Amino acid sequence: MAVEFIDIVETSLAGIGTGSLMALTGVAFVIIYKATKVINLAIGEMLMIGAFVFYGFSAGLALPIWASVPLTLVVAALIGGLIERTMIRPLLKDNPVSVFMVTIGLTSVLIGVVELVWSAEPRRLPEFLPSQPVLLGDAFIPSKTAYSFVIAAAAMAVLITVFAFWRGGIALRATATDRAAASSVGIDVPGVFSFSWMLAAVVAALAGILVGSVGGISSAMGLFGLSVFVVVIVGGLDSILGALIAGLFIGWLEAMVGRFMGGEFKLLATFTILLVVLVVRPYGLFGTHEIERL
Amino acid sequence: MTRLTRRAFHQLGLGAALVSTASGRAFAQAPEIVIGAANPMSGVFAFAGVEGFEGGRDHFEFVNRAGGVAGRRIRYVNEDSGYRVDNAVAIFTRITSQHQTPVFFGDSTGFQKAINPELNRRGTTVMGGASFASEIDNAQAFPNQWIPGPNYSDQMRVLLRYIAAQKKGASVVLVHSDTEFGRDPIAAAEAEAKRLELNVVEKIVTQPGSVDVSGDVLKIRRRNPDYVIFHGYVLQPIPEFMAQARQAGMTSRFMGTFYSTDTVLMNRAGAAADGYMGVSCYNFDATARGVQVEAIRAANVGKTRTHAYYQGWTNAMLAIEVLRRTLAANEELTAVNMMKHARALKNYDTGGIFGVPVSMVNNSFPHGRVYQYSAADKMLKPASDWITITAGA
Amino acid sequence: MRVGTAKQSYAADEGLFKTDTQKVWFGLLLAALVLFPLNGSSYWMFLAVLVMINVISTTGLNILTGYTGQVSLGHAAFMAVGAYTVAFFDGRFGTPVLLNLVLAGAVAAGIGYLVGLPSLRIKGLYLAIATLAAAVILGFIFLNWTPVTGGLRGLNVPTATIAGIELATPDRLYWLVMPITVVMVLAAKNLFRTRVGRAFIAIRDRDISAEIIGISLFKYKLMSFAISSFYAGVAGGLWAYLFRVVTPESFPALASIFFLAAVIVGGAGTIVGGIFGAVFMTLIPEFLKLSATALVPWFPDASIYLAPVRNIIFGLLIIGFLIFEPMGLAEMWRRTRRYFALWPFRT
Repeated sequence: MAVEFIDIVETSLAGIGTGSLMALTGVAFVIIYKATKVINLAIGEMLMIGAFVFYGFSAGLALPIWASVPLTLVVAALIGGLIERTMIRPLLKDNPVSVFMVTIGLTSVLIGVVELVWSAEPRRLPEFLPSQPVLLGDAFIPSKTAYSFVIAAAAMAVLITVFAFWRGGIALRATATDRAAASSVGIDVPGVFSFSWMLAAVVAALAGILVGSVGGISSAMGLFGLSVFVVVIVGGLDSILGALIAGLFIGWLEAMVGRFMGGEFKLLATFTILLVVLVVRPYGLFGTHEIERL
Repeated sequence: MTRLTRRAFHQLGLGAALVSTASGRAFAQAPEIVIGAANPMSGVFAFAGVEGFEGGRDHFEFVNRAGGVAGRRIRYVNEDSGYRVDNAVAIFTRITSQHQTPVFFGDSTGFQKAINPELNRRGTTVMGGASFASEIDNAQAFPNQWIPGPNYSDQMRVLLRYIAAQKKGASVVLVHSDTEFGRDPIAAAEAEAKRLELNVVEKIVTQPGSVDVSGDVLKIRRRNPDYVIFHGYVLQPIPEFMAQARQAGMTSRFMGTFYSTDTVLMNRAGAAADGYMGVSCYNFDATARGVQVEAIRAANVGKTRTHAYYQGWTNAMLAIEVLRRTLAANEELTAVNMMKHARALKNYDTGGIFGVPVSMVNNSFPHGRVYQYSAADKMLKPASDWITITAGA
Repeated sequence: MRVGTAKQSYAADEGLFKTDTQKVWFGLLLAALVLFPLNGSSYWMFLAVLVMINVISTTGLNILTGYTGQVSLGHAAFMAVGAYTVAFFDGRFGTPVLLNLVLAGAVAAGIGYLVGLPSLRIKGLYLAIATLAAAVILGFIFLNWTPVTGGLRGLNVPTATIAGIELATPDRLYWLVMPITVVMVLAAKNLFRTRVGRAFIAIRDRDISAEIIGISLFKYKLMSFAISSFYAGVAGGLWAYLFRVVTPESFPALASIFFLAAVIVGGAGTIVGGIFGAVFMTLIPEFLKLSATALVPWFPDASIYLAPVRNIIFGLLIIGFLIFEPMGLAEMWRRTRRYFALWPFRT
């Protein structure tokens, strides 16, 4: 079977579209890791609960989209803050393994909550993206892929600006670099912890709305988080840039593997890359190499 | 909130559901016959599990009202398996250790395979179930189980024969999930397509839990096949596939097997599911005649019942028929005796549940018909005649 | 009242049972295990066998995570390796049951050794994610190495037969599983009276310090992986004899988290904690089911909420124990014992 050039282009574009959503979710993960040094295994489930809250507003209460999206983001921020205050804060002084396991427990709680409120059946979000497909030259891009890519890119541009210029963003970066120093120059470090979880929950919810609008929502959609781990490990746990590049790369790779080898090889390919990166360069492509001292 | 609310649960109780509390006085003396079940009342398959449970429950009510089997009441004991094999095995062990249980309904291929050696060892219980796995349709390996319809391979054959009748040499794409359920009929479908001189141009495997279909839509778009057949999904992601494919200007027709042909889930998907074709062995025709379909309509006035309900009903009906024949022959309720009568079901009139008289071949009933979903009327409409799959035909 | 236990030698201080009271209690426990089948319910026997299989597997994970400090998210995959090994050897060659179980442990240990290799370079949570990757790759192998694993259909497992007796029911299987569980748990307890066990603990407490005092991190971490996987493999093999079918979907990723939860809830780093955790986590769904049944007269819909509530409680148990009782049920048990040991005086 001859592989056509246009086929490769189209597959690549679709993959980059998915990759942008992975990158966005990866950024949410990195925000939490930078500020609180917590590896959040529940990132996929935070994305899921965002998507379901949006479903509740837009389909359940039948609110218009322009109202549902901000409401969803507000609720997500509250959930993020609640998680941080009740489950993460009490353990931050303990070893990182405990907090990590708390996020495993959180996974199960969030899935339970969603199934309790909405049941385990798969659902579709109301259509809100334009349905006209996009043509880039001869290459065909499904409309949802194209528009979610644009929205994800815009969201990331906003985030990067926030980190670069806004006081809160700078406080977050300062806390990430050195907690004690940040605290001594008057930064409210616990406040930054809460803020980082709220911000991450908002970003994850936005990603959840986009992922859900492309493929529908279900209580199992947290599996998306598996690919996101690969993204953040490959990119480096504390690097926003790393999450962006690795997100696009993993998305592209999954699409190419799915197209030319078959869907059953997708996870195998990404996790093999994960293992290789872990062994060769454990701190990722762009992550900070931590030196352990006694 | 969901449609699982639920007259069902008022009677269900968590575990032990006593079906049919009414109409009991006539047979206070004769011992009850206990029929056990592990249905997935929660989890991803709850939509089918609840319907399947209610189908069985309604049928046993119908039978008890008419006097039971040989004067003996049926008691239906169901527990929630949550679609997990270890739960289902635990439920089977519990129910069979508390009651003599000549018939038990299983909830999944995994469970029905896991419990099979135990069934054969006990020799006192036969099993019908929710699985249509081709593997279970084997009278040597699974001597004590039946499938209440055609197996997944035969469902594929029905679809492919329909396609072959519509268009000679049509091109077909198979889309299936990477699970045991999803892979089940793929080899058989390819062989059948080859025999019918259809052209399988692509096979697409999707990862379980995968949410993004756009890459796969692209793959199909390049082929623009006449037909796309899905297998191994619970509806999702089929409507999304169809919507994106339409946007991409494709003209393919979309088809699927039993569990992705669920009226209620399709109603929820709405316009996106319009035109979808699914295979079923049950008669959804609102004007169908027969004792059983009329009883179903009487029990469900103003309600849409899905595939899984008919399946639960059919399993119950087959169980009752087998019990009746065994008791009428004055034989003990052993697995050997019951299965002897089950396998003797030839040209059996299902009271309108199947559109044609059915015969048990191996462990299944290889009949089916293609339906098309109409979003405007919110129902499945017959698109083909009844097709019976016979070996080598 | 017991005032204290005076030890006169190091051997006594390191003893498996430190006091006569412990010996008596252990004797009572053994007697209870032997007498348990008298309850006569095959359902309880089934649960008991399942609980004991989970005890073995949890003890294995406890050795790795609780004692050596290496978090594994792939424990269930090693159980699957054991289950497949038993299915393969018993189904293909009809080898004796005990040999199959040893093989199951050995093959799982070998693969565990391989999976542990990255621990040379990476540690902590990175290692946890590497074990997750290993589990995904093992899952792929189970699904696609059809000649050995039976592919998606999996393998059927013959009935366990020892000395001509078919162990077809849980009632009979109990007599195979129970002694193995007792032996393996005692062996784990003993492990931590040896040099190897102490090395594990040293690595958990501070790996760099351990290395400086002459413990080869690489050697002992790999040994811990191998031993832990051996336990998982044996548990998986027994699981195969209980359910008698193994498919790629028998051991989902969630099962690994179940064992991790059992270790946390029971008490990481204590043998008795692993036992408590496994018993507690296996029985809690049964308890929830009973309470939901009891609630039905008041809340007819109770049963439909059972599955989500089970998930929530499962998660909250993990979180709650980590926050409020990080040493788990074992610590509660220790406090209770202490209270009664000194009764009527207070500490």
